[in-house]
Amino acid sequence: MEFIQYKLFIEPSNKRITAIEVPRSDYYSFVRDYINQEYSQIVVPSNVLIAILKEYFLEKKAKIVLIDFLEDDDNNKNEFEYLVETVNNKREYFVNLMEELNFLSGQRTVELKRVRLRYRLDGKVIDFSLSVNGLLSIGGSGEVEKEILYITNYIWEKIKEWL
Amino acid sequence: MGENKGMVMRLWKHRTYIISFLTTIFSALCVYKFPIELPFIPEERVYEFSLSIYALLITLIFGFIEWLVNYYADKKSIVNIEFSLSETKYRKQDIIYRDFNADIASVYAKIHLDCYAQNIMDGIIKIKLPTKVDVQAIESYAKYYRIDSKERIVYIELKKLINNNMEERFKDDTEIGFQVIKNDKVVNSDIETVIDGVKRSVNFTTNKLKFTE
Repeated sequence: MEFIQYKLFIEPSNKRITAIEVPRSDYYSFVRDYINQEYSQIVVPSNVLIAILKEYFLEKKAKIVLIDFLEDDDNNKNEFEYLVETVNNKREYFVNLMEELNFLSGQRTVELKRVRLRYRLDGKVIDFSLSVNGLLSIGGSGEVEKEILYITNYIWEKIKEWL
Repeated sequence: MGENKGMVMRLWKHRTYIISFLTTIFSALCVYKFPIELPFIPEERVYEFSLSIYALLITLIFGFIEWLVNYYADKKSIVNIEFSLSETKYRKQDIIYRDFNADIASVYAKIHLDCYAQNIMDGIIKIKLPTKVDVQAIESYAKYYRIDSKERIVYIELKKLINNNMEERFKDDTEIGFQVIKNDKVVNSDIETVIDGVKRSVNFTTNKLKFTE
Protein backbone atom coordinates (compact mmCIF):
# COMPACT_ATOMS: atom_id res chain seq x y z
CA MET A 1 0.00 0.00 0.00
CA GLU A 2 1.38 3.39 -0.95
CA PHE A 3 1.08 6.16 1.63
CA ILE A 4 1.04 9.85 0.85
CA GLN A 5 1.95 12.33 3.53
CA TYR A 6 0.00 15.55 3.94
CA LYS A 7 0.48 18.52 6.23
CA LEU A 8 -2.59 20.12 7.75
CA PHE A 9 -2.72 23.92 7.65
CA ILE A 10 -5.34 26.44 8.65
CA GLU A 11 -6.18 28.43 5.53
CA PRO A 12 -5.49 32.21 5.44
CA SER A 13 -9.24 32.83 5.64
CA ASN A 14 -9.19 31.13 9.11
CA LYS A 15 -12.30 29.22 8.14
CA ARG A 16 -11.09 25.70 7.41
CA ILE A 17 -8.24 23.27 7.52
CA THR A 18 -6.62 22.13 4.32
CA ALA A 19 -4.26 19.19 3.68
CA ILE A 20 -1.26 19.89 1.46
CA GLU A 21 0.88 17.05 0.14
CA VAL A 22 4.35 17.14 1.66
CA PRO A 23 7.09 17.17 -1.01
CA ARG A 24 10.12 14.93 -0.66
CA SER A 25 12.39 17.97 -0.47
CA ASP A 26 13.16 19.96 2.70
CA TYR A 27 10.12 19.70 4.98
CA TYR A 28 10.73 22.93 6.90
CA SER A 29 11.20 24.98 3.72
CA PHE A 30 7.86 23.64 2.55
CA VAL A 31 6.24 24.63 5.88
CA ARG A 32 7.74 28.13 5.79
CA ASP A 33 6.60 28.63 2.19
CA TYR A 34 3.02 28.10 3.30
CA ILE A 35 3.44 30.23 6.43
CA ASN A 36 4.67 33.03 4.16
CA GLN A 37 1.42 32.63 2.23
CA GLU A 38 -0.39 33.22 5.56
CA TYR A 39 -1.32 29.61 6.20
CA SER A 40 -0.95 28.52 9.86
CA GLN A 41 0.38 25.26 11.17
CA ILE A 42 -1.89 23.30 13.44
CA VAL A 43 -1.22 21.30 16.58
CA VAL A 44 -3.73 18.45 16.89
CA PRO A 45 -4.19 18.18 20.67
CA SER A 46 -4.65 14.90 22.52
CA ASN A 47 -8.38 15.38 23.13
CA VAL A 48 -8.95 15.78 19.38
CA LEU A 49 -6.82 12.72 18.55
CA ILE A 50 -8.86 10.76 21.10
CA ALA A 51 -12.10 12.06 19.58
CA ILE A 52 -10.92 10.94 16.13
CA LEU A 53 -10.09 7.53 17.53
CA LYS A 54 -13.60 7.29 18.98
CA GLU A 55 -15.31 8.60 15.85
CA TYR A 56 -13.56 6.18 13.51
CA PHE A 57 -13.80 3.19 15.85
CA LEU A 58 -17.52 3.62 16.44
CA GLU A 59 -18.77 5.14 13.19
CA LYS A 60 -16.46 3.55 10.64
CA LYS A 61 -15.75 0.34 12.57
CA ALA A 62 -12.03 1.06 12.27
CA LYS A 63 -9.30 -1.15 13.65
CA ILE A 64 -6.76 0.66 15.83
CA VAL A 65 -3.27 0.00 14.47
CA LEU A 66 -1.26 2.25 16.77
CA ILE A 67 -1.47 4.75 19.61
CA ASP A 68 1.81 6.52 20.15
CA PHE A 69 2.70 8.90 23.00
CA LEU A 70 4.94 11.94 23.18
CA GLU A 71 6.52 10.77 26.43
CA ASP A 72 8.86 7.77 26.37
CA ASP A 73 7.22 5.69 29.05
CA ASP A 74 7.61 1.93 28.58
CA ASN A 75 4.88 1.16 31.10
CA ASN A 76 2.33 3.27 29.24
CA LYS A 77 3.50 1.90 25.91
CA ASN A 78 3.15 -1.72 27.00
CA GLU A 79 -0.18 -1.09 28.69
CA PHE A 80 -1.67 0.56 25.64
CA GLU A 81 -0.27 -2.00 23.22
CA TYR A 82 -2.05 -4.63 25.30
CA LEU A 83 -5.26 -2.55 25.46
CA VAL A 84 -5.24 -1.95 21.69
CA GLU A 85 -4.71 -5.65 21.01
CA THR A 86 -7.56 -6.50 23.37
CA VAL A 87 -9.87 -3.93 21.77
CA ASN A 88 -9.12 -5.19 18.27
CA ASN A 89 -10.04 -8.72 19.38
CA LYS A 90 -13.04 -7.74 21.51
CA ARG A 91 -14.46 -4.40 20.47
CA GLU A 92 -16.54 -4.06 23.63
CA TYR A 93 -13.31 -3.32 25.52
CA PHE A 94 -13.10 0.00 23.69
CA VAL A 95 -14.73 1.70 26.67
CA ASN A 96 -11.77 0.65 28.84
CA LEU A 97 -9.34 2.12 26.36
CA MET A 98 -11.28 5.37 26.20
CA GLU A 99 -11.48 5.63 29.99
CA GLU A 100 -7.74 5.18 30.29
CA LEU A 101 -6.95 7.64 27.50
CA ASN A 102 -9.37 10.27 28.76
CA PHE A 103 -8.02 9.95 32.28
CA LEU A 104 -4.38 10.35 31.26
CA SER A 105 -5.20 13.11 28.79
CA GLY A 106 -7.26 14.94 31.42
CA GLN A 107 -4.39 14.69 33.90
CA ARG A 108 -2.03 15.91 31.17
CA THR A 109 0.45 13.28 32.35
CA VAL A 110 0.72 11.93 28.82
CA GLU A 111 0.00 13.41 25.44
CA LEU A 112 -0.74 11.53 22.27
CA LYS A 113 1.78 11.78 19.50
CA ARG A 114 0.05 9.76 16.79
CA VAL A 115 -2.88 7.52 16.12
CA ARG A 116 -3.15 5.08 13.21
CA LEU A 117 -6.41 3.54 12.05
CA ARG A 118 -7.44 1.12 9.33
CA TYR A 119 -10.95 0.55 8.05
CA ARG A 120 -12.97 -0.35 4.99
CA LEU A 121 -15.01 2.14 3.04
CA ASP A 122 -17.35 0.58 0.48
CA GLY A 123 -15.25 -2.56 0.75
CA LYS A 124 -11.98 -0.74 0.06
CA VAL A 125 -9.22 -0.31 2.62
CA ILE A 126 -8.24 3.10 4.02
CA ASP A 127 -5.26 3.33 6.36
CA PHE A 128 -4.20 6.62 7.92
CA SER A 129 -2.13 7.99 10.75
CA LEU A 130 -2.50 11.46 12.19
CA SER A 131 0.19 13.14 14.31
CA VAL A 132 0.06 15.93 16.86
CA ASN A 133 2.14 18.11 14.49
CA GLY A 134 -0.56 17.96 11.81
CA LEU A 135 1.07 15.34 9.59
CA LEU A 136 -1.44 13.04 7.98
CA SER A 137 -0.22 9.90 6.25
CA ILE A 138 -2.90 8.13 4.27
CA GLY A 139 -3.09 5.26 1.83
CA GLY A 140 -5.46 2.65 0.53
CA SER A 141 -7.64 1.66 -2.34
CA GLY A 142 -10.65 3.73 -1.25
CA GLU A 143 -11.57 7.33 -1.94
CA VAL A 144 -8.67 8.93 -0.08
CA GLU A 145 -9.50 12.55 -1.01
CA LYS A 146 -12.99 12.19 0.42
CA GLU A 147 -11.57 10.81 3.65
CA ILE A 148 -9.01 13.62 3.94
CA LEU A 149 -11.84 16.13 3.64
CA TYR A 150 -13.79 14.27 6.33
CA ILE A 151 -10.80 14.28 8.72
CA THR A 152 -9.94 17.96 8.17
CA ASN A 153 -13.56 19.05 8.62
CA TYR A 154 -13.85 16.92 11.76
CA ILE A 155 -10.75 18.51 13.33
CA TRP A 156 -11.88 22.00 12.39
CA GLU A 157 -15.27 21.49 14.06
CA LYS A 158 -13.50 20.38 17.25
CA ILE A 159 -11.11 23.32 17.53
CA LYS A 160 -12.67 26.30 15.77
CA GLU A 161 -14.42 27.62 18.89
CA TRP A 162 -11.32 28.21 20.96
CA LEU A 163 -8.51 28.46 18.43
CA MET B 1 19.64 47.61 35.50
CA GLY B 2 18.50 44.24 36.81
CA GLU B 3 21.92 43.62 38.36
CA ASN B 4 21.82 46.97 40.20
CA LYS B 5 18.36 46.16 41.50
CA GLY B 6 19.58 42.76 42.71
CA MET B 7 22.49 44.37 44.51
CA VAL B 8 20.21 46.91 46.20
CA MET B 9 17.93 44.06 47.34
CA ARG B 10 20.89 42.14 48.79
CA LEU B 11 22.10 45.25 50.63
CA TRP B 12 18.57 45.91 51.92
CA LYS B 13 18.48 42.44 53.49
CA HIS B 14 21.55 43.34 55.57
CA ARG B 15 20.34 46.85 56.42
CA THR B 16 20.50 46.35 60.22
CA TYR B 17 24.28 45.81 60.10
CA ILE B 18 24.78 48.54 57.53
CA ILE B 19 22.73 51.07 59.55
CA SER B 20 24.64 50.22 62.77
CA PHE B 21 27.92 50.66 60.95
CA LEU B 22 26.90 53.95 59.32
CA THR B 23 25.43 55.28 62.58
CA THR B 24 28.71 54.66 64.36
CA ILE B 25 30.79 56.27 61.60
CA PHE B 26 28.53 59.32 61.21
CA SER B 27 28.18 59.80 64.95
CA ALA B 28 31.95 59.72 65.39
CA LEU B 29 32.43 62.15 62.50
CA CYS B 30 29.80 64.54 63.85
CA VAL B 31 31.31 64.44 67.32
CA TYR B 32 34.70 65.18 65.85
CA LYS B 33 33.49 68.00 63.59
CA PHE B 34 30.65 69.48 65.62
CA PRO B 35 30.96 68.64 69.32
CA ILE B 36 27.95 69.82 71.30
CA GLU B 37 29.30 72.24 73.86
CA LEU B 38 26.61 73.53 76.17
CA PRO B 39 27.20 75.65 79.31
CA PHE B 40 25.71 73.07 81.67
CA ILE B 41 27.83 70.21 80.30
CA PRO B 42 31.24 69.79 81.90
CA GLU B 43 34.07 69.84 79.36
CA GLU B 44 35.15 66.25 80.11
CA ARG B 45 31.58 65.03 79.36
CA VAL B 46 31.17 66.80 75.97
CA TYR B 47 32.41 63.79 73.98
CA GLU B 48 30.06 61.20 75.47
CA PHE B 49 27.10 63.65 75.52
CA SER B 50 27.65 64.55 71.84
CA LEU B 51 28.07 60.92 70.87
CA SER B 52 24.78 59.98 72.55
CA ILE B 53 22.87 62.84 70.92
CA TYR B 54 24.30 62.23 67.44
CA ALA B 55 23.76 58.46 67.71
CA LEU B 56 20.13 59.09 68.69
CA LEU B 57 19.58 61.61 65.86
CA ILE B 58 21.21 59.45 63.20
CA THR B 59 19.32 56.36 64.37
CA LEU B 60 16.08 58.36 64.09
CA ILE B 61 16.98 59.57 60.58
CA PHE B 62 17.79 56.04 59.36
CA GLY B 63 14.66 54.71 61.06
CA PHE B 64 12.57 57.29 59.21
CA ILE B 65 14.23 56.40 55.88
CA GLU B 66 13.54 52.70 56.50
CA TRP B 67 9.91 53.45 57.34
CA LEU B 68 9.60 55.55 54.18
CA VAL B 69 11.08 52.79 51.99
CA ASN B 70 8.78 50.16 53.55
CA TYR B 71 5.79 52.44 53.13
CA TYR B 72 6.39 52.82 49.40
CA ALA B 73 7.31 49.13 49.02
CA ASP B 74 3.93 48.23 50.52
CA LYS B 75 2.24 50.51 48.01
CA LYS B 76 4.11 48.87 45.12
CA SER B 77 2.21 46.30 43.09
CA ILE B 78 3.91 43.10 42.03
CA VAL B 79 3.24 41.24 38.77
CA ASN B 80 5.34 38.13 38.29
CA ILE B 81 5.20 35.63 35.46
CA GLU B 82 7.00 32.34 35.94
CA PHE B 83 7.45 29.91 33.06
CA SER B 84 7.54 26.18 33.55
CA LEU B 85 8.00 23.01 31.50
CA SER B 86 5.08 21.24 33.08
CA GLU B 87 1.67 22.19 34.29
CA THR B 88 1.39 23.05 38.02
CA LYS B 89 5.13 22.40 38.64
CA TYR B 90 7.05 25.61 39.29
CA ARG B 91 10.63 25.45 40.50
CA LYS B 92 11.73 29.10 40.54
CA GLN B 93 14.36 28.63 37.84
CA ASP B 94 15.88 31.74 36.24
CA ILE B 95 16.04 30.14 32.80
CA ILE B 96 13.79 27.40 31.46
CA TYR B 97 15.04 25.39 28.49
CA ARG B 98 12.14 24.06 26.42
CA ASP B 99 12.91 21.41 23.81
CA PHE B 100 10.63 19.96 21.14
CA ASN B 101 9.08 16.56 20.67
CA ALA B 102 7.59 15.84 17.24
CA ASP B 103 8.09 19.58 16.52
CA ILE B 104 5.77 20.45 19.42
CA ALA B 105 6.49 22.14 22.75
CA SER B 106 4.08 23.08 25.52
CA VAL B 107 4.71 26.19 27.58
CA TYR B 108 3.09 26.85 30.95
CA ALA B 109 3.26 30.00 33.04
CA LYS B 110 1.95 31.15 36.39
CA ILE B 111 0.93 34.80 36.66
CA HIS B 112 1.31 35.95 40.25
CA LEU B 113 -0.36 39.21 41.27
CA ASP B 114 0.20 40.96 44.60
CA CYS B 115 -1.28 44.37 44.04
CA TYR B 116 -4.07 46.90 43.95
CA ALA B 117 -6.52 46.35 41.09
CA GLN B 118 -6.45 50.00 40.03
CA ASN B 119 -2.70 49.79 39.42
CA ILE B 120 -2.91 46.97 36.89
CA MET B 121 -6.40 46.94 35.40
CA ASP B 122 -5.19 48.38 32.07
CA GLY B 123 -2.12 46.15 31.99
CA ILE B 124 -1.36 43.77 29.16
CA ILE B 125 1.36 41.14 29.35
CA LYS B 126 2.85 40.38 25.93
CA ILE B 127 4.69 37.11 25.39
CA LYS B 128 6.65 37.57 22.17
CA LEU B 129 7.68 34.34 20.47
CA PRO B 130 10.50 33.75 17.99
CA THR B 131 9.75 33.62 14.25
CA LYS B 132 10.85 29.97 14.09
CA VAL B 133 7.78 28.80 15.96
CA ASP B 134 4.02 29.12 15.49
CA VAL B 135 1.75 29.37 18.50
CA GLN B 136 -1.60 27.75 19.29
CA ALA B 137 -3.90 27.99 22.30
CA ILE B 138 -4.60 25.15 24.72
CA GLU B 139 -8.37 24.85 25.01
CA SER B 140 -8.59 24.99 28.81
CA TYR B 141 -6.49 28.18 28.99
CA ALA B 142 -7.75 29.95 25.86
CA LYS B 143 -10.12 32.15 27.90
CA TYR B 144 -7.20 33.95 29.53
CA TYR B 145 -5.42 35.24 26.44
CA ARG B 146 -5.57 36.24 22.81
CA ILE B 147 -3.08 35.09 20.21
CA ASP B 148 -1.90 37.12 17.24
CA SER B 149 -0.59 34.30 15.04
CA LYS B 150 0.99 36.60 12.46
CA GLU B 151 2.85 38.69 15.02
CA ARG B 152 3.52 35.61 17.20
CA ILE B 153 2.41 37.39 20.37
CA VAL B 154 0.30 36.06 23.24
CA TYR B 155 -1.65 38.93 24.83
CA ILE B 156 -2.85 38.57 28.42
CA GLU B 157 -5.16 41.34 29.57
CA LEU B 158 -4.82 41.56 33.35
CA LYS B 159 -8.37 42.84 33.78
CA LYS B 160 -9.54 39.38 32.68
CA LEU B 161 -7.71 37.81 35.61
CA ILE B 162 -9.03 40.01 38.41
CA ASN B 163 -12.13 41.61 39.84
CA ASN B 164 -11.61 45.26 38.92
CA ASN B 165 -13.89 46.39 41.76
CA MET B 166 -11.48 45.18 44.44
CA GLU B 167 -10.14 48.13 46.40
CA GLU B 168 -7.82 46.39 48.87
CA ARG B 169 -4.51 44.83 48.10
CA PHE B 170 -4.95 41.23 46.95
CA LYS B 171 -2.93 38.20 45.90
CA ASP B 172 -3.87 35.91 43.07
CA ASP B 173 -2.28 33.19 40.90
CA THR B 174 -3.47 32.24 37.43
CA GLU B 175 -1.95 29.52 35.31
CA ILE B 176 -1.87 29.70 31.53
CA GLY B 177 -0.54 27.37 28.87
CA PHE B 178 -0.10 27.32 25.12
CA GLN B 179 1.63 25.16 22.53
CA VAL B 180 4.16 26.02 19.89
CA ILE B 181 5.11 24.13 16.74
CA LYS B 182 8.42 24.83 15.12
CA ASN B 183 8.84 25.80 11.47
CA ASP B 184 12.59 25.40 11.22
CA LYS B 185 14.89 22.47 11.79
CA VAL B 186 16.91 24.19 14.50
CA VAL B 187 15.34 26.55 16.99
CA ASN B 188 17.57 28.15 19.56
CA SER B 189 15.64 31.24 20.54
CA ASP B 190 14.41 33.16 23.56
CA ILE B 191 10.96 34.48 24.21
CA GLU B 192 10.48 38.03 25.40
CA THR B 193 7.91 38.97 28.01
CA VAL B 194 6.90 42.58 28.64
CA ILE B 195 4.09 44.43 30.36
CA ASP B 196 2.34 47.57 29.08
CA GLY B 197 -0.32 49.87 30.48
CA VAL B 198 0.38 49.54 34.21
CA LYS B 199 1.22 52.29 36.70
CA ARG B 200 4.83 53.07 37.53
CA SER B 201 4.43 51.58 40.97
CA VAL B 202 4.09 48.12 39.41
CA ASN B 203 7.12 45.91 39.72
CA PHE B 204 7.11 43.37 36.85
CA THR B 205 9.41 40.36 37.02
CA THR B 206 9.72 37.22 34.93
CA ASN B 207 12.03 34.30 34.41
CA LYS B 208 13.34 33.48 30.94
CA LEU B 209 12.34 30.73 28.57
CA LYS B 210 14.52 29.51 25.76
CA PHE B 211 13.50 27.09 23.01
CA THR B 212 16.23 24.64 22.13
CA GLU B 213 16.75 21.98 19.47
